Amino acid sequence: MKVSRYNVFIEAEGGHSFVYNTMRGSILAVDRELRERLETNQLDIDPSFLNPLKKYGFIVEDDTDELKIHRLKHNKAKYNTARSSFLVFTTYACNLCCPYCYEGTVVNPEYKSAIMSPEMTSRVVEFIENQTLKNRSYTAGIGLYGGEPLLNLDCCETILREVSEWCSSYHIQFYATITTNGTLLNERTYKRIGKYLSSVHITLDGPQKYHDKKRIKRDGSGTYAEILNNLQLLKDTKEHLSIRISVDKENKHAMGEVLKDLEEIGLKGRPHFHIYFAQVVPQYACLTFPTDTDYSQLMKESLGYIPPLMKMALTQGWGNHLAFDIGQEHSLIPANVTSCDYVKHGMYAIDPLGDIYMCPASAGDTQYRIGTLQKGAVEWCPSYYSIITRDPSLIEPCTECELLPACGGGCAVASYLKYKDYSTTFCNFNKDIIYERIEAYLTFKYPEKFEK
Amino acid sequence: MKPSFYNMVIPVEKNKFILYNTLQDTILLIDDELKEALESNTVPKEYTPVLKKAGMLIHDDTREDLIYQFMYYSRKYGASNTYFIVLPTYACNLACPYCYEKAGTVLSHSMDAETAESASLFMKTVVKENRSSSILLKLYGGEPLLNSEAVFTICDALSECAQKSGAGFYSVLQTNGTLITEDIIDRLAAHLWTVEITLEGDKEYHNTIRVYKKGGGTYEDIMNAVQLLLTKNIHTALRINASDSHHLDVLLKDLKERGFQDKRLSLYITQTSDFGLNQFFTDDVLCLRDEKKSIALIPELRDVVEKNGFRQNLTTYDSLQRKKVLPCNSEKRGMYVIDPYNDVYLCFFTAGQKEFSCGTIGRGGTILWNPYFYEVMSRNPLEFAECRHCVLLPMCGGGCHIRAYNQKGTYLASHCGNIKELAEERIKSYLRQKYPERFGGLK
Repeated sequence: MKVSRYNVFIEAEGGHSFVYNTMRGSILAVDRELRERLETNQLDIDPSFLNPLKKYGFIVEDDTDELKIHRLKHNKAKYNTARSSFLVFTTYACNLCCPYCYEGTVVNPEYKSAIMSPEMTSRVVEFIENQTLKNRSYTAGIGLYGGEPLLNLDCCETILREVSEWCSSYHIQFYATITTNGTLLNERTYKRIGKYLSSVHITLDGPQKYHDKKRIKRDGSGTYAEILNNLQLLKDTKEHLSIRISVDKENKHAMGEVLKDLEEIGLKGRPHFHIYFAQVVPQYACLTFPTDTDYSQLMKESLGYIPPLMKMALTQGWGNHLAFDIGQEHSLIPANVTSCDYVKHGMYAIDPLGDIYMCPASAGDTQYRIGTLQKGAVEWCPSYYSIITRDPSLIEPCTECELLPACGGGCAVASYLKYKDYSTTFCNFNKDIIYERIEAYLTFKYPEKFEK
Repeated sequence: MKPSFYNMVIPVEKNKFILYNTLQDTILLIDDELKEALESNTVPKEYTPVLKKAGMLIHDDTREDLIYQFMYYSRKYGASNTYFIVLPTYACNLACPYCYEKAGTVLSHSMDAETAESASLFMKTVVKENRSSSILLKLYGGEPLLNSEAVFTICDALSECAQKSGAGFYSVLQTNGTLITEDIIDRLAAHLWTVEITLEGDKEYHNTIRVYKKGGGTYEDIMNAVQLLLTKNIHTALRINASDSHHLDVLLKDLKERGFQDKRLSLYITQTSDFGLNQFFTDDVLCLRDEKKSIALIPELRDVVEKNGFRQNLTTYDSLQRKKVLPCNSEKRGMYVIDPYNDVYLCFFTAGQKEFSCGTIGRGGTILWNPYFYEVMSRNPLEFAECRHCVLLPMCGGGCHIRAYNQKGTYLASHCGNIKELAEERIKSYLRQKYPERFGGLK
């Protein structure tokens, strides 16, 4: 036997430590002696200790090559196309002008008011159908995105109707989500598209006082009351409803008010209702990997105030609406087998002009497009193959890194920005942040071990 | 623009060349002028669109190695099909002299109820994990119907699993055909996609080879079984080992006389080798001899099929073998061979040789994959220098990992085998078959 290459150690109080295995997502509290043995590969210990260590992957057989195991997991996750997902930017235009919107800086200024034309819409439908068949997928997922997708309601409706009908004739499961600012999701619009939707995703920037300072219309007026009013429409509907509550230093103390408001409109206890707290993401920034000092600092700070907010929500009875355990969508600890959800075969973000991107955060900046929808065909760019075939299990220093199964090898675009080469990795702040996230999770989960 | 690395130029007649692109599986007939223009990258404008479309002329910054890698990885890891070959038993009631399993005399173990149950659980887990759109099951042996209880358990389980997940379920019962009864057909009819039975040629010849252990030929029994299957409208595939056109001709006449022609019958034609499994995996010279013989035989055998009016029944394999991308299914995730001990293998030819097992299914259907499994799963021919620089890579995929291991002591190496000798011949054979008027006489 030998120790796993994916053990990381976090110091707790009173001579105790935690060992966390990034590949298996397993946690164990260990004393000083056991930690030392694990760190130095001295495994002449009592078999009653060895068995659990083996069972949870902290130690492995001598001939186990964990890097190869990771490689298979990574490639499995990346190349399985049971689902094909299409994020459709029905428009880049938006009726709000939130100061932090990343699209303000990424999207080519000429495209900012671009709306997907009916001709392009039918090309997109054709692409979705062809690609789903080509990928031999079980499920076709549509994500309506923008800009504000509902500003192009005809396009939303056409895509949902045509693809869902096509799916049922091919016995393919259909799944549709919409990410909207919520201001236009009213009775009139919901009547046209509601029946197709499996999931609705909306953001609130804290309670009204804070939200209305940031998520504002062109005339500067707030949107909180309108959104909450619209949310009541979804009180008894069947689809998933997910609310991202953006938190920062200013509004963090006021989150109780948001929960109260949501409870008041009857969402507490609604089946398939999810909430999560997330920091406000600055312009330019990626949701997964911080690329500058300020953002990494913000991320670290948020690890200080988000766990207490989760605790607060838990104690107020919102447990059924939260998902932050290891492996769950909004966990504090990342478990990115592939570096991010978008770098997968079968994932396509299509903008109003018919350009295809892999990373939605780079949509609108044509240097990152991976393909273009032509009439009746797709032209893939050479960069598509460079990005999709990037394999961190072949990239140094990922090959030697204990965090590889948590981080997935970092962002391909960030690597390109730094080295002009997708087959590199640019760790930047990743390592630091991941350690902090693991510690934040453990502190949240096992506070008694960290009490002084 | 630049010419594709994967262009192959094959001279066919004076001033004429076949241009075949192994990566895109496209083919063109060109003259020497265009050939030279392509080689010197000075293709006249009027020809660029068609060459570009065929992937023979590509953008300067296109990385074809990565396009290949993407194809390779998608097929290797995508698992849009999950494919199981299950051996419910190693035992057999026949004693065919060429059997690579030695007719069940070396291994004769059968699955018991618990083993079959665990195997079913394992398969269900794999299907669930892969979320494949189709599940393929081949029941193989030994003779699977010597353990019909296990066959029922497994078919029931996978069929139910497919129904629940909405996946297509395709099961093939590969049997010697001597144990098929009406009861068995009725029991399996709802699950069966195809029953596959082997014949050696006409009755006289067949009965010298496919013989009962207790003695005696099997031809008439098999014909009765085929009759029964076709009457019940079950798709029946006859694998015919044809080493010359005479035996095939007599057999087809008999099938016609029995009225099988218009039923749900399909045929495919193969050849057997006169050497054992050991040579099969180690002796490239013997393999080449057989493959060449087989390619040479094809036109003659096809004529016989045609003449007897069985063309619509014939399942043909494209002799171009198209681009394979992966060397063989055994390198795919989601394709497993399960033997009666519940040992899992990647290649069915290696079933029973424990050194090539990649793990054993335990109670409850769990498995601990061993290092061999992860080695093969991480195999990528672009990491082998000789593959990286080989125009034939998309046709061959790096070759057989077992042969690579036998010859080089590691799975993580290439095995060229006979691809270099056969590639051109396959392309020519394709042309002869596809365009007989134009290329029928192609040497």
